[in-house]
Amino acid sequence: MTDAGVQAEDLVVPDRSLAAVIGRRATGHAPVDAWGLDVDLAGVLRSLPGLGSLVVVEGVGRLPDGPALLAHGRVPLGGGRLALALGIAVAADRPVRLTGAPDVAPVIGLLRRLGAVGGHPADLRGLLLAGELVAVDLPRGVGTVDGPVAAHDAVAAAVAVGAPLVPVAVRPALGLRRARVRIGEPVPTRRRRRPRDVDEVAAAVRTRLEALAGAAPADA
Amino acid sequence: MRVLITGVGGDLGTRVALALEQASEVSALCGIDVDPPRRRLRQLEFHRVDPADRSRTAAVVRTFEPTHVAHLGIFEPNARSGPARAVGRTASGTVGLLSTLAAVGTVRRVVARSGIEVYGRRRGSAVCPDEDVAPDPTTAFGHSLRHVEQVAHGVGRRLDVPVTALRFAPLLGPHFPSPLGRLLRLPVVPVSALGDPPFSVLHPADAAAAVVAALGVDHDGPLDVVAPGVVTPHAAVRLGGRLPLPVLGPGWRPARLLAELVGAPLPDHVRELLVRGRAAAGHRAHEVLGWRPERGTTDVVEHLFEWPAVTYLRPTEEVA
Repeated sequence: MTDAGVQAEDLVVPDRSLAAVIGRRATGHAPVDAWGLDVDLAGVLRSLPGLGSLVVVEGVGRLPDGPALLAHGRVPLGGGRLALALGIAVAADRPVRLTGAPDVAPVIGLLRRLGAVGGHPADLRGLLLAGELVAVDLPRGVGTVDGPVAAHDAVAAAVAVGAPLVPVAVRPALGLRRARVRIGEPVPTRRRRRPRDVDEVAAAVRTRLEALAGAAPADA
Repeated sequence: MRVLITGVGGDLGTRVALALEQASEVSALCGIDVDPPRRRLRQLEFHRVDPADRSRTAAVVRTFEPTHVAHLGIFEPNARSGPARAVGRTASGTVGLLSTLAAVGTVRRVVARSGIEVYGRRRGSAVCPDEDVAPDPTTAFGHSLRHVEQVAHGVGRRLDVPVTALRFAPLLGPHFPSPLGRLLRLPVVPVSALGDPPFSVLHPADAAAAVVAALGVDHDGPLDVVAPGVVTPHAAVRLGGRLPLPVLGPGWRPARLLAELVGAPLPDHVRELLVRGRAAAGHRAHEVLGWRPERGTTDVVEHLFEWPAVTYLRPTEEVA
């Protein structure tokens, strides 16, 4: 666990009532983690009525209680990655940390409040140590303003922490069709420490991701 | 063990000396600084030495023959010295001390104060770096600390002794000279209009405890020492009941001038903290030192604003 940030268990805010949230903000006690996630804001957004109905999430029970690297394919930011983050955050009632946020003010300030981060391997490692769900574009890596961070680094971070990799297929919304997120079977990484394990784990999750994306979706 | 403390006149150095006076394994204690210690220290042998006076520093070190060294003579810009003087004093003191240690050859362990400013906050850098991230300072204080680490590790390699660089989060306390503390205590505090990035701090008492713990551990390399949790500039201002003043781009120049006019200079590393944030992961320090900071970041900031009423004491007997 990282101690610079608020630890995962500390981030659970018991009282999400508007009065409590406003009270905490007025006195400077609103909880924030080391990567800038505004815990109150994210919690209020997750509990907005009707938000969960925008995205259909299948297999949320496959998500581990602890940290996980959510490996999604190449999907657009607007309809794909946001649907993934929103759908899983609402279904699992915990934030999803999207990676690849551009480190440019004022965009980065707002994105960080909602849980997004850049792509530095130390941040990925720290988030996983803090028990977070971190979403990365596995085949391509984490895109950043200063260049992509190799997918290998992201997988290596998960292997170093012992966090499983979870394949996630996303079908963006189209017209009246709702966005759909399918969560696959996690690839465990515990007791894997050899350098070649990183490549094996990455290959395994890519195979599961392709199978997941190619499977016929259930009716919405 | 025979412990030499540099910077013993500062709040941190005095706290470390007080703690070491109680330690049974310490057989002799010597301290040097440009200012005398802030408390009465019964066992400490104090030498008033300007860090720029390398020959005097060398004479004290040669006479004392330390086995353990806590190098705390680090001058933060606008804390006890102006920016240029702070960097010069830190560099002179570090080179003077460590080059003498290399010549004397009695030392077995060195603990040097550093700071998480060494990581810098360049675009695309880690928001919450750990010790595996290569230092890439972006401020004068960060470069100064990086130099301290480089010199200390060079001497450590030469003598084949472990050198622990304790990278502290910004030290903050009601009586601790700190540009960040002075700024936060202004009635109106400049903050970034484009973001509210989190930062960590550390209480001087916890920093002192970390130094004492590190003197008893053979660890060669850096350790990040940060208080649990983070706070944002806006939240810190609200904790103190102050007013935040959102500042944008070129507005920082007049904000800096105004702050300096009212006695709270704004050096570049504090401005960087307000605009880009400053945090680090502290888990490795917990594992290596077997110790955790007692006070969280929010507690430290709240403590900064606590000003107990002054109680004037009546003299019980007349003198002369």
